[in-house]
Amino acid sequence: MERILILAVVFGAVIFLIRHVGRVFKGDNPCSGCGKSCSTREELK
Amino acid sequence: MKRLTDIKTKSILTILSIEGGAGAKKRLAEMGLFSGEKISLLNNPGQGPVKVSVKGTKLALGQGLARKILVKEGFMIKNEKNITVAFAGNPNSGKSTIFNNLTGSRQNVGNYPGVTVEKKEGVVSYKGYSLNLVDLPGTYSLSAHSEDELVARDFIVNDKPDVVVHIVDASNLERNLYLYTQLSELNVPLVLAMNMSDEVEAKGQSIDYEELSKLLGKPIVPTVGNKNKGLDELMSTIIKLYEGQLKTEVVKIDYGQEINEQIEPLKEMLSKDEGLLDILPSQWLAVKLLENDSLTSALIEKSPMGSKILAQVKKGQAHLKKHFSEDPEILIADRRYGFISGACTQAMRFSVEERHDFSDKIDMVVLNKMFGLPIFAAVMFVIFKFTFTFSQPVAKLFEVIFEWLGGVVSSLIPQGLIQSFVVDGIIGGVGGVLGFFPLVLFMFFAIAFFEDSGYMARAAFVMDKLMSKFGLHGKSFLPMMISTNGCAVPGIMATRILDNKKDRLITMMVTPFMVCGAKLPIFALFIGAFFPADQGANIMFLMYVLSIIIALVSAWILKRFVFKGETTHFVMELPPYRIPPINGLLLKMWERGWLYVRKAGTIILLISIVVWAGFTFPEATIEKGSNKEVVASMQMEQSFAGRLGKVMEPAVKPLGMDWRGAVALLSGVAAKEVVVSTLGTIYSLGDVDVQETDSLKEALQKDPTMNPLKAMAFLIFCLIYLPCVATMAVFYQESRSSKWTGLLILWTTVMAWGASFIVYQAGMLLGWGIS
Repeated sequence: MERILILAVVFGAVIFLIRHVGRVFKGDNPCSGCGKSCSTREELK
Repeated sequence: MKRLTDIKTKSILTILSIEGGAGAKKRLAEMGLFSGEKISLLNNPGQGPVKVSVKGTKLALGQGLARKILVKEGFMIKNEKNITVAFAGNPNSGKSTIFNNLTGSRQNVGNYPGVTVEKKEGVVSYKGYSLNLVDLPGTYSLSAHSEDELVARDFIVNDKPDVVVHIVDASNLERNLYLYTQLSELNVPLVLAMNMSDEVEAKGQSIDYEELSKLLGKPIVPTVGNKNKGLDELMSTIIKLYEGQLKTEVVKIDYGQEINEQIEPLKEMLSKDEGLLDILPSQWLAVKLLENDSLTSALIEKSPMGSKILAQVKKGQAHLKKHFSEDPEILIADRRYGFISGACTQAMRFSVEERHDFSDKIDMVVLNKMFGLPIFAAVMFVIFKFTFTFSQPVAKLFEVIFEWLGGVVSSLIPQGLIQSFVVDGIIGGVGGVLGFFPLVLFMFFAIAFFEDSGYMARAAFVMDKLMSKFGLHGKSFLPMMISTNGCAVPGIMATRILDNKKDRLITMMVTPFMVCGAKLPIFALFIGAFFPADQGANIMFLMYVLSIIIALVSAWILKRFVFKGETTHFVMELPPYRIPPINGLLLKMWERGWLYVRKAGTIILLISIVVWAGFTFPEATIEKGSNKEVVASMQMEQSFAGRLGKVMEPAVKPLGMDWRGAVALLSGVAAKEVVVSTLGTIYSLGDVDVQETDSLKEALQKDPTMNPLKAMAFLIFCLIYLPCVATMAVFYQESRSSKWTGLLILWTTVMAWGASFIVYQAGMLLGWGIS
């Protein structure tokens, strides 16, 4: 049970990260911690 | 030249110009009445409609409308081209004197502002051209504040003269060029007449007009209006400009990152209304809107996008006000004067006259050829010293908190996968990164102070000479500074301030080398673990200097072999110095710091989970009876991540790293802070005593395979090696080239490996690597 729970969390994290990288390369919210608000970046785009 | 209503007899006339607003002009143009058109006056009774014939069609014009039409009797000479020239400039800059000397008219002239309160017109024939000269009332800017200024602005903005001559009082250059900054953005064909140029010399100054012309992107003619000097050359220049024989450019005024970030979305929205952009350039409109210009706001209200644009303007103004505790119009004026100040510093020479302005006095020292660079180095050192000294006690507290948290959670959750997941994966990974939060905050505060005080703009100026030797110029240094102040992503975006594509690509290639906020925890961790506490700021400063050296060497190589070409002329803005408001500094520090925390709580947390899983699965087959340390070590080595690290190990071994370093570096491509979180997870997993958890710094210190030389080689690799995914993505978006993005990846990797190899191997040869 413990193992299934953890694997589900890990799987979710992997999916999220893959989607995040996809978004970054599409230019959608490329910045995650640059010191500027993400809304600004979206407006710039 | 007469008004149409002044002519009472039947005659053939040529329209010279039409007065009035855009509405009246449009109405007349629709009827075929515009400058240069031939018309026949059929009947003008003095009262009631004026009858004219244009292109064979008879029209009746009201007296009011007919009064706006300025005409010349008879035909134009067949080959005589009609050029409308507007004379604009500050009050008392000598416009009317030049106008009178050229047209032979007798306008009232005086040595005080406001002599010309309405526009005057006169015609002069010159080398086969008929120049319709319009002397406008003096204006300090195009934000019309008074009726006479409004007349000038209306004529330039709405009537669109063929050429605008900006008459500048050269003896008071900085004040007078303020109008230039707005005329330039308006993208009108512009000539600058440097009037009273004789007084410049009398004041012990000299102006390099050629240099100034290059910096401002417009032709410049020195004149002395009251002595008729330079007027012939001025007329020739007007004609050459009209005929397109002179090269001009629209010089971009850099309003600074914060203001530019408010201008860009406005430009984007304005560009959707093509009707608006037919009248005025988007940059001019966006800046005027942020400046709270009522006439521009009224114009925008009529646009279908009006309400959205004005809402965005309010949002942008509020953002700027919050950041700088200052009205946007003041900020924009500050930046314009910064631009002018930069141009004047580059083009003016002072021999006897003392510069007396407060900012000038400071600049005499900080921009000094001898002391400029050492002062800049000292400023950067102060930033690092401040950061390391003052953040230390708070950072220690954070370290203790995370150690305590790890111990508590270990005692609460029974030993097993979930305990390892929380303690090694989450606390070990994210905690490692969050532990450096105070350091990041202090660093952002110190940089924000120098940024908002106006010094950082000077840094670019100081660096210009050094950078030009490497094929870059000072302006390229600003994106590099932005990268140091936070992240390479906005740094790469800021390269938009560079007009030349090659300069821009080189700057984009070298910007990721800078010490960004994400690299900071890596440096702080290794410096704290392997170097004496009082040397922290020194090593950090060394890293910073190294990053600039690497960037300069890279730029030189790229300029010489890849992006060959001339470096363009530009103006570096020198905004006036000011004491930054404390709330603005704290806000900036918090905004940047908060994103660091948010990143740690999202992306870094998720990557830490994946990295932990990579080291935990598959479970290794270990002989029974092995001690705990062997079990932990075998597990990591046989895991997915461990096997990947082992594959990479031969590549990093000459750099003094093992498979753990390789995995940390690989994971750092996702985000540089992940190097720390991955090491946190690795050392936490290797820590077998769950009750006595070490901080990552302590764990590194206890690692017998590590030493200061290896730490230094690792840091140098981290400083240079390929940028994070977000930076690569923005590089690709900005360069729109997979070829250059590929070059960036290859270049940074090769440079990092080479530099790290040299440091490690040289250190070994010198016997520094013996731990």
